[in-house]
Amino acid sequence: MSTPLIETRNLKKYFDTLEGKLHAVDNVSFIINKGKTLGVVGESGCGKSTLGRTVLRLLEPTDGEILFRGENILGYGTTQMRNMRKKMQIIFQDPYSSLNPRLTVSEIIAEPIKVNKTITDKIEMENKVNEIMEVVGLSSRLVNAYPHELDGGRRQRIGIARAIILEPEFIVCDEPVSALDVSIQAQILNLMMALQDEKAFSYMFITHDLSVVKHISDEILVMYIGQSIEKATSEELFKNPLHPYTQALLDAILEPNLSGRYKEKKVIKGEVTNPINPTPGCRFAPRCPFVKDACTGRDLELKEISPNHFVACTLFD
Amino acid sequence: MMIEEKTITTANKSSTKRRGQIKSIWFRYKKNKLAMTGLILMGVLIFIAIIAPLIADYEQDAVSQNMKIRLQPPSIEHIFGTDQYGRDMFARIIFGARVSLAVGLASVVISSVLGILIGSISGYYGGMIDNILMRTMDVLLAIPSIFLAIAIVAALGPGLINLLIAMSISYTPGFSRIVRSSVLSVKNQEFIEAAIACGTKDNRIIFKHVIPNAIGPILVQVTLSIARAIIHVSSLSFLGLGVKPPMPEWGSMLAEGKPLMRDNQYLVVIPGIAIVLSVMALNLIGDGLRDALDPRLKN
Amino acid sequence: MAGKLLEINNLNVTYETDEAVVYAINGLNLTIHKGETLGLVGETGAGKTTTALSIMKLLPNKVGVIKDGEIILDGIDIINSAEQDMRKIRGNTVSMIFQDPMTSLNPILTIGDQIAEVLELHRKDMKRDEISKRVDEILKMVGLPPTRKNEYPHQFSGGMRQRVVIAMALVCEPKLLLADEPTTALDVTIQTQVLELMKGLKAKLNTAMLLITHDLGVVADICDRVAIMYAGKIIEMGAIEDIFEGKEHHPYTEGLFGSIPDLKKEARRLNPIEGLMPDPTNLPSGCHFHVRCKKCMDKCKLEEPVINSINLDNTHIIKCHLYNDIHR
Repeated sequence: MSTPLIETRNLKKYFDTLEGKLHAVDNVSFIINKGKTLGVVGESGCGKSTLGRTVLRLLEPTDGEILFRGENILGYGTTQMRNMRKKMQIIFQDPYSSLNPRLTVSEIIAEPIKVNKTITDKIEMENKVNEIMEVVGLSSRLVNAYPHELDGGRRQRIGIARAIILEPEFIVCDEPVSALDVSIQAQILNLMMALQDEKAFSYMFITHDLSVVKHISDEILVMYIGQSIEKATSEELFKNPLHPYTQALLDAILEPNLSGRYKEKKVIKGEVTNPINPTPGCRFAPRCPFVKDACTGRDLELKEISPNHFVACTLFD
Repeated sequence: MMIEEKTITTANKSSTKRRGQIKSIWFRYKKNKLAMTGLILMGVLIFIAIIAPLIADYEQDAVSQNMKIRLQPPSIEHIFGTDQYGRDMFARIIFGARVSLAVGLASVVISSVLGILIGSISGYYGGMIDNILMRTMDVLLAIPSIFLAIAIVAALGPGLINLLIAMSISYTPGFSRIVRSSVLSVKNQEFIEAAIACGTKDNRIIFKHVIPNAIGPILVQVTLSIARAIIHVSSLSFLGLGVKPPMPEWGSMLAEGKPLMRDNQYLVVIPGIAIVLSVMALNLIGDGLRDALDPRLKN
Repeated sequence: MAGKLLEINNLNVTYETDEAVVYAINGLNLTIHKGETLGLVGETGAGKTTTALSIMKLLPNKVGVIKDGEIILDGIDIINSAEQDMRKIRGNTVSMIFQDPMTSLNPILTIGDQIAEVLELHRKDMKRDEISKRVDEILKMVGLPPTRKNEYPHQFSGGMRQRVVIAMALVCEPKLLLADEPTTALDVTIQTQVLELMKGLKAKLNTAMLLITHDLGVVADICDRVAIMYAGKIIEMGAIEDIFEGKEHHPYTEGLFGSIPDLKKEARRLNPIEGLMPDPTNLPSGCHFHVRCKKCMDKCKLEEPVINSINLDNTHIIKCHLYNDIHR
């Protein structure tokens, strides 16, 4: 088995707040192989966005390891890390705040090249920008346009162009289509999948939308208040969700057809709470219909229940 | 107006409505009659100040004393009259304009550049650097700018350059505060994160990404500060702490005319009007700029 | 079928600014019957929120203009009603809940006070203690403990705040509720809670609802009838079965369904609609959708389609030239 492209081991990210330590990401481990997509799903406060940024060291991890092709990048100094960034990029959720309003489309896309000095010749740089614009489906007459003149879909294409121009190997996609209209979402998803087919990008696809994540991911990691609670291939997770929270999530999906209309809904009571100074144990316990004593007291680990299907739940002890 | 903005930005921009931001701002500014009046008035004042040497002779008309024609009220020969030393008031006004406008403008330019640098570094890095810089600014801010200027001039001695230094130092803290708070909000925008994610170095982030997006709020403040600076130049000169006589300056002209005000009102009224007109023009420009930058505020 | 509660005929609304005129609504026809839920579906810029604001007469002052048409709500002519009459109607006959629960509530008033305010405005006959009792009642109805009525909005989560907004909207038992993307900003498990709540309240109070959304899943769950909006007009409308199980559809509707990843199917690529929403200051000629339509014919570029009835009882209509000759 070749070295995975990205691997995290017991990754933790805590924030200091006035009320105490906020456990945004608590003990998350996963592997992403070349050309594959790991979908990370969860509701607000689960820590998926923090996870994405921590993996890229845009936020410094509190503990744990991040390995790129087997090498721990946490040991890298500033210059080495800057070099590393050419291989690991990010696409943001908000197509409005992720682009500098003062720069034109071509300037935004060219920034990574200028900053890393990978191309210094002006003509060559222009050609590269035009090439990438074509690849992402942006018309060449937009080179001198400003972001505020364009719609969400086009802006997101700019964000994608900026992320891929350095030919990275790994891209964190933080809810890249959530802010877009349904028909534009579909266009952008198609684009991202086509790019992956062509250039073998590895994606970490963060989203709260389960139908989108199923469509684009090979493997899915489900998070709840900072903890990873289930991990399986896309198909397996939807066919056979094991963790009660995963089941609740899948139950809550409203499909565009009338099959679920007259079925009784399983409503889980309560709300997602804030993980400040949490007590050891499963954080879903207060809302879980199957809660037992064993669920609190010690943190649960992901255990392999069937080939490549992991769950952290006392129901499977 | 969220709804309207959304529908426009989703549109297919094949039409030629590709206005840069500056053009849109100018478009809105142009429609404001008062703002345009201010701009034209300021333009005229600056123009006259620039061509002053072509209209009158500095040495002969504005500076040398000619006691034979002293205290002559406005006439065809001397349209603003002459002062108690026989110097032509019109010549003194237009040469005085150079001093007031130049010092006013220069001091604001210098202090805004300094303010942008200090505010940006303070806002972007935070922590100890922010603390040291801002507490220093606080000390300066605690003293009203006019007194600060007086203190510095008193220490350095009167004269144009010292006046410039004093005023620049007293305006810098205000600008740095505004820029700092602007930088604080820009710094959290995702495009800054995007720049970091590409490996951009700090100084490029600050100069290329942060500052251009943070200086908006300062633009209006700059215009209004020039107005304030002109008044300060005049005040300081009035107190004898500004330009050295016989260099003409509106404030010192006020001081010189004050003892003779009862019978020769024009000696005081004319420089006074000059000050009022330039300050009013700048205020109108400042208001117009503010409305043009954020049209939502007007409604 | 229950009587008509809301009737909109040939509504035309524009937004007029110094720079351009935005044609937000172009000949809208809509009916809602008593007690029924109509889903209004469309993407950004279709004009859905503008429709709701027009019904409430809450279009932005001077900029939003109702150019033509009529809106009859419970027999009242909305367009020609004076502002003081509208104030009696808003919150009382018709209420609206907005998308973002974070910003819909006043941060400096307690939630109890905000609900009480609605009662104080419309029920001058109620005394203070009666109002207080009613506030407790409605809080219980939306699943919030009345003991928390003296707390402030920031002390509640997003889902709870949306419940407060719903309580405010329903406390005077309006005949019509306008809900603008009420669950879009909420987590999916909270969405289930809120939708179940709304269904229960609707049934209990027999409130009619105009549910604005882009989410076809939500529509399938809660609506009785559906209207699909594009470039300021309704291009397809029908009962829930017509839209989700019928065979005939407007090409845009088909495109919307094709854009959603199907959990059951293993399609590698989605089938999105090409292109973008049209520029509302410069709408295409003929059928506004023709530029993006896979089935575009020559006629579509020149002539605007008429409303074609797909079934015998006229419940399913499609505005498209493809159905001009559909036999009845």
